[in-house]
Amino acid sequence: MKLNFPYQKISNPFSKAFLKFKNSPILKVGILSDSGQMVKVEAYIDTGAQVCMIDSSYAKYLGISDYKQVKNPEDIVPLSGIGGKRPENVAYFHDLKLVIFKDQRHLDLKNALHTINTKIGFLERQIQVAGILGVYGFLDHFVFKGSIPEGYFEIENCFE
Amino acid sequence: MNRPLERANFFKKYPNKWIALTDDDKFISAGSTLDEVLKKARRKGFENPVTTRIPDLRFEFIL
Repeated sequence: MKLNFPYQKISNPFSKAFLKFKNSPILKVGILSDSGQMVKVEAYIDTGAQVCMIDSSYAKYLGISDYKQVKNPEDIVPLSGIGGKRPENVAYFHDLKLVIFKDQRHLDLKNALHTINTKIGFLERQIQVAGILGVYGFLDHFVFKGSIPEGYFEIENCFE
Repeated sequence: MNRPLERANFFKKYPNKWIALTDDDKFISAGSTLDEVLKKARRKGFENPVTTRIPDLRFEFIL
């Protein structure tokens, strides 16, 4: 099934002309724990990110009292990006479910297109967005096509 | 196609804040932390709202 979503368009009054308009691929998703607790997060699709990550404030609402307590040492991952620091941030990965909804205005499990068992990282330092959807657990499950001139992006489930 | 997210006002009013919304994008609450917005949302009767962080557009960010 193919789903189309409009890019979130922002006109930035503080920016220089070439940076003025921003098109963000934002998707509302659910993050579900084994205990059945779900948070609903607006997440940024980042084709350059290898993993999915969310703000660590969500941990307690998923029944995780200390997000830094992970199952295995390899679930702690230092992260670097264009900021150039090494590391800029640290993600602590936990086994969770990522819920993709068919209709962005009805975010309940009955309306789920796909529920993916994956690892999602809780970020030690806060970033500008609530969550990031990267390759492992999201983009490796969907064909993602973006058309900024037409103003929308599309995801198509690969494993129906 | 899903409808566009109307966010222009939020970027003006709530830079660098958390906000809570209903599934169909109605504003519920804003605050400096996720805990604060969820507490306010629950007081208004919204047990599990959609939450997001609004970037501060005065500082450029590239993702």
